Amino acid sequence: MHEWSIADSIVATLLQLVERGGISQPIKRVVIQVGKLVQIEKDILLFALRELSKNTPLERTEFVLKEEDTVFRCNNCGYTWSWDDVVKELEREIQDKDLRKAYLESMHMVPSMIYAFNKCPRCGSTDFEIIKGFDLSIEKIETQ
Amino acid sequence: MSLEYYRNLITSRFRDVNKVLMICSGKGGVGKTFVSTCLSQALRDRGLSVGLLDLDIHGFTTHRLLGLRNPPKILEEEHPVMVKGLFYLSPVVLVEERALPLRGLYKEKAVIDLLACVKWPRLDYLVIDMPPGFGDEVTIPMRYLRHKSCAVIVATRDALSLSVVSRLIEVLRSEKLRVAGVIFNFSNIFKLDLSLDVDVVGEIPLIECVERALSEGDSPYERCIEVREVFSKLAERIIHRAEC
Repeated sequence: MHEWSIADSIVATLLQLVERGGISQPIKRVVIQVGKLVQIEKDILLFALRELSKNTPLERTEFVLKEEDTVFRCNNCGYTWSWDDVVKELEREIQDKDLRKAYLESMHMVPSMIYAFNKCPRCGSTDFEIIKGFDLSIEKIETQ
Repeated sequence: MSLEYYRNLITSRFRDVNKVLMICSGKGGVGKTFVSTCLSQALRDRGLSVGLLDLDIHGFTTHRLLGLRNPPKILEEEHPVMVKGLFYLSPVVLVEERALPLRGLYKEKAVIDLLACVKWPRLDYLVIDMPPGFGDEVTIPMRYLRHKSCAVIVATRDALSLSVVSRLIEVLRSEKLRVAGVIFNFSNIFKLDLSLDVDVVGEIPLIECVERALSEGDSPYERCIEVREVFSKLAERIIHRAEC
């Protein structure tokens, strides 16, 4: 549940852009893209962004979150799979709900930890790429 | 996300940390993790508030040197866990003893996220057990934390270790990281007398009890009085030099 920290850093970074003259016009809309792997609580992040923007030049900025599926590709056999497959596999492999929740929380906090819990469903290799939906990024900043 | 975003996030996470001690070595196997954990415990025993962060992503073993038989499995509310009077974060808390076969970009991102994922409380010292060498895992913490960090180098007095340490010192200097000095480990075994362009903080002989403690799952610092004596002196010298 580090949505507030993420929101705080997004707001701080945007305000720095404004203060340093990187953006001269008021910011109308910010589109944030987030991979499913990050398991963001969207409502909390949006609420935090709005709260932290109050009484700043971002007060009227609209924040939009776009969730993107996380897709993996095996470097060994070329197979591709998605975040939902990872979750299903975890449910199958780990019966203890609390432990499963702890592992998902680990990936929420440090998404790269997926490498400890994931492998190619076809050949079993851990040599895979995350071809999309790895991180959280600011996709677009629209000014007025 | 951008460099600035992570700079803001990591700065806020380390705001209450007074001094970061980065325990580095050019080569693996010189006792860096032994020094990181024992030094943390010795600083704690001086009544200081101490954190220990294990950034050795592929070879994390601080939990073993602390004698943790069942390391905590979860981070709560973005705080480091508390073990043996130390604020603590290691990959073992996130993935237990599972392998982390990270490469390239993912390794870089893992280090950044480990730096950014918890809010460290008010600490006199945060000791970071760095991975060996001077790859991403080493340069990333320097990038974000150099203003409040000192490097402590661990080496052995043999030709191979010393040649790599010289290169490590070159990198640390070019990154403008202050170097508190070098600690020579296994000093009763490796005795090559080559001068390095840094101060010697201290020497640690091979202490027989250490291996026995580790093989039985105990903390060498807790079990071996010789270890506590050596690190009590080292802690005092480090405190003095880290204020550089």
